[in-house]
Amino acid sequence: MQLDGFTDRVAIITGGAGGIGREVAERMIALGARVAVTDARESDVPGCLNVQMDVTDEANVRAGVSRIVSELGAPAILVQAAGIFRVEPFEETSAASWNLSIAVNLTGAFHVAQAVLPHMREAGYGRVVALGSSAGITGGSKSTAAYGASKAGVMALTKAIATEYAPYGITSNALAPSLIETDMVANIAELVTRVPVGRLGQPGEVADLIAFLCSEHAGFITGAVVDINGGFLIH
Amino acid sequence: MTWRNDAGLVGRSVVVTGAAGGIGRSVTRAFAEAGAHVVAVDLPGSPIADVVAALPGGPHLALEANLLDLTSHASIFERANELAPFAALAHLAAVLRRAESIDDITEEDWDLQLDVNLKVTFFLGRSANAALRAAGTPGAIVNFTSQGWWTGGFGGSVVYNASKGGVTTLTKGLARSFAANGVRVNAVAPGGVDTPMMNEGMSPEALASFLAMVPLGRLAQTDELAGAVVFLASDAASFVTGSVMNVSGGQLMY
Repeated sequence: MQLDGFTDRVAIITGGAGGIGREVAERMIALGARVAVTDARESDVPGCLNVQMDVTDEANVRAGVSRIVSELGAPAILVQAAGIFRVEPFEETSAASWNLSIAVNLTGAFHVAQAVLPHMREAGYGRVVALGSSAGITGGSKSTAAYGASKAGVMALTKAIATEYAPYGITSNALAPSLIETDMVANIAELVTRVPVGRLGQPGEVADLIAFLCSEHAGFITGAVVDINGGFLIH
Repeated sequence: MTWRNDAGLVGRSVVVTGAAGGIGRSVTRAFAEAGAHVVAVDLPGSPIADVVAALPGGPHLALEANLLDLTSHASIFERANELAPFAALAHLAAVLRRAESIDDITEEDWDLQLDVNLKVTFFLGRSANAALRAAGTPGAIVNFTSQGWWTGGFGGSVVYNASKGGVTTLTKGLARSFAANGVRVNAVAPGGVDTPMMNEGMSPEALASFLAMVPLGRLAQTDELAGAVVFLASDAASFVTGSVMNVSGGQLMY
């Protein structure tokens, strides 16, 4: 897939060391972007700037984004893929566990957006894509209250950014994936019987959609939540 | 902007209906640039032959057809398969009768919009699926709804929007029904697009108040719809089905 809008643009992929984020990084490198991958873990994704960054720590995020700006230039593309997924029965979910899910998935996206958007506003161009989830719509098929609530928050944050930054040529969209086969989401194979297309999704399929939304071809799409779930959630 | 997409479209045929319309021309061109062979369908008397003559690549085919003649549908996909193995239907053909007020809407207005916009979407989609099933190949259907499917619109346009509500519901139901034989069904929901259909009967004041509701502050150019259609029709969207892609410049966020 050859998309316009990546050549020499700087892209930041949070949570880019593995899973969906890494697939996104690889596509954007192939499309000609200068890519920075951030992750809480140390990472070594070839062909890009690897930045260890804890999205829950505002100072750490500001330092990480500053380093990306000085080494690669101002970001034009931001993909918010950092996230954690915990299956915990509601009554067994501790406040600490709840807070961690919200801190990484929702507040983390807030910190990163706040550090990155001024650069896009100044340039008059930007593409922000956040990983939401169908669990942010339904609450989730398993015991994932904190995850579902955090992803609902991410999708609302995405829309708020879309409205506030539209005058600056910045689009902001979210994906609502479901049943994607990654290390993060284990034990979902049993749900495959409920997927109309009869299989789980692959990280590369999500990355293709993200790449499209980050391209110049998607310039009139903003504030949208795009479902990618093989028909698992048609609503 | 050139869209080059080798994900399942190169050397296969794509049927585009409403291909001589504002968005249809851009969609037709985008598929041709992506390497597909396009069967471009529009009404008898439309400039569809000129649209096709100007396309890169090929061979392509211009077909004059009134889709209200349901018996014409099967032959459209037969012609597509003669050109190249049929891969996708992008169904754009629709009619908008914007009445002055709700009191001016006639039964004929109702019937025409429901028949062209909704009835044809069902029978044409079923026919496309039958052609793909018979060939044993996966494929995709991309329908056109409108953001009015969600809002209901207002006054003289409510019938059009109700028909588009039907198209959205149908898209979801057909997605579940056709998944078993590998056919994905999605819809694109445009907001305001700079086309004759949008601009006809729209005063400058009405347009200004419309644009005030669009965060991006402008109408979409037709090329900006083509990207979404080609993406959804291609194998790059292989796990996307039953979804509605909202291309409204932020006017509506759902």
